[in-house]
Amino acid sequence: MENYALKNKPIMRLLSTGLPPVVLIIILLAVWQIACIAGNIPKWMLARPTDVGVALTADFKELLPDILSTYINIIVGFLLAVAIGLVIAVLISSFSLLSAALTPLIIALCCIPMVTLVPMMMLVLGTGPDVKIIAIIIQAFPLVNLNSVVAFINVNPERLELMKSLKANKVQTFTQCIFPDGIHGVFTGIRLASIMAMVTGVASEIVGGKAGLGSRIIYFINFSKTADAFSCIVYIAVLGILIYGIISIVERQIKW
Amino acid sequence: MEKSYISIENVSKVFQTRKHSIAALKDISMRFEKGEFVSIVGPSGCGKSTIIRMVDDIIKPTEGSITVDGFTYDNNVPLSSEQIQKLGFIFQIPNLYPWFTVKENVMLPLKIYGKDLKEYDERANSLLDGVGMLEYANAYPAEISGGMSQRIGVIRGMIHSPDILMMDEPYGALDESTRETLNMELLKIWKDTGTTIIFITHNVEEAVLLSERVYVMESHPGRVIADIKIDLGEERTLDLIGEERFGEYCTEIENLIGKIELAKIK
Repeated sequence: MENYALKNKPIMRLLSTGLPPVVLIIILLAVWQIACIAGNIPKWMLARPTDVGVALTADFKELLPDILSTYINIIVGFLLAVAIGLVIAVLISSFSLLSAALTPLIIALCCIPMVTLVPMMMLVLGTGPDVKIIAIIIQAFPLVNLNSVVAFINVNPERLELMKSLKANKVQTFTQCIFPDGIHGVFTGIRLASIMAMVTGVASEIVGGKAGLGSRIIYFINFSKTADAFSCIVYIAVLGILIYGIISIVERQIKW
Repeated sequence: MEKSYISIENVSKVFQTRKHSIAALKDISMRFEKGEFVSIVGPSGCGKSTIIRMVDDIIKPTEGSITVDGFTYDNNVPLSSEQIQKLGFIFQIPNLYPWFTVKENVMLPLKIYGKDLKEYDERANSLLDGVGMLEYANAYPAEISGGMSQRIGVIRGMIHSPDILMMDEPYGALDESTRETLNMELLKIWKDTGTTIIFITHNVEEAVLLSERVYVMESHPGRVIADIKIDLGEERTLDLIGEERFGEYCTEIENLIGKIELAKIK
């Protein structure tokens, strides 16, 4: 009984869920550090975690404009991708003709690695942030869209029958039944889209950006500054974890 | 011939699957007078639920016509708001939406009909109280038992005071004692409100106890084989179950259903 009460305390919950990954990361970093020292690996080839730690604080001011550029592009692109993916999902699941016309195109967009198109897009749109945001949207929205459509189409038939019985109109049926019934499918799409937005955003910067953490990674590697390159990767990972965490917190508010 | 309050005339229903056509109902005719309590019994697959789904305009008949209170259903003319609100449907499973609280589930029909929910707050509370669920008004369906959910499903069908209540084996999943309690509660509501009730059940005793008439159906395809008037007086209590006349009605209906089952085996 006491044990149960202890487990339910917030501090204990945090320790039981937060501690294991932290311990694992510390162990992995320790193995990395020891391997570098024991193997006498040159720092220009593979930076040690302690060097990355130093670079993280030392480079912060210099990297701040790039951090902001990457973060803003990815967040804006991701949010627009979610909005566009959802709106098109609502239309597709409501109108079969639209579904027939759009679905093959959306699947094709999902399958084309957008990084390969970014250089061509730059020829038209230049190297500004809009190219990266467009690339993120094109790559990420199909994931929100396809997962949402599947969730909306596969609505629980018994729940839908209640709406038919009440003679609810299309908007009522969607807002009161289909959307809440398929919300977890929507979140699966959003989660996958967040990962895709991160990958596409950074890859676009690597391929042809003048600003952003992706372009800085290439710059640092060219000068064999691997610790600085790793510090950029850590800043990218922080954003990824933040977005994923926020999505999880929002989804946890759904009680069903 | 003058039409009854609800008339089902020469209705057939064929369900189309990718490979087959399944005849669920073949040329059935039924009538229900205003304020009547009529049960429909029959083996599984005889189309009992299909009939009330057609009366509720959830599905359309393949042939024949359905008339409710003078209005004959037409595939091209949707039911008016007034006609829609005459109908109440109670499902076999509670079918509560897990994203709404118990009370929000009860109020859902009113929300769909565009009613001012505040005006119905007292009625909702009264119905919840009637089935012993007022203290769970703000609970979510996941937090209450199956029997409690079923009660909520029943009062959701009644919240807008429909003239016609269609009940699709609403107490099938409940234990005997809860079932009896709710049956008596239903009789009381019927007498108080004069609602026309079409009650689908597998349970012959339940049909005889509650109804003024019982339609007996056979399956494959679904057809009406008997329309039995239950003459047990107006006062229906559980004490009737021990009476000879009650037993005779049950035996008569069970024999009819038994013959169908036996014919199938042969």
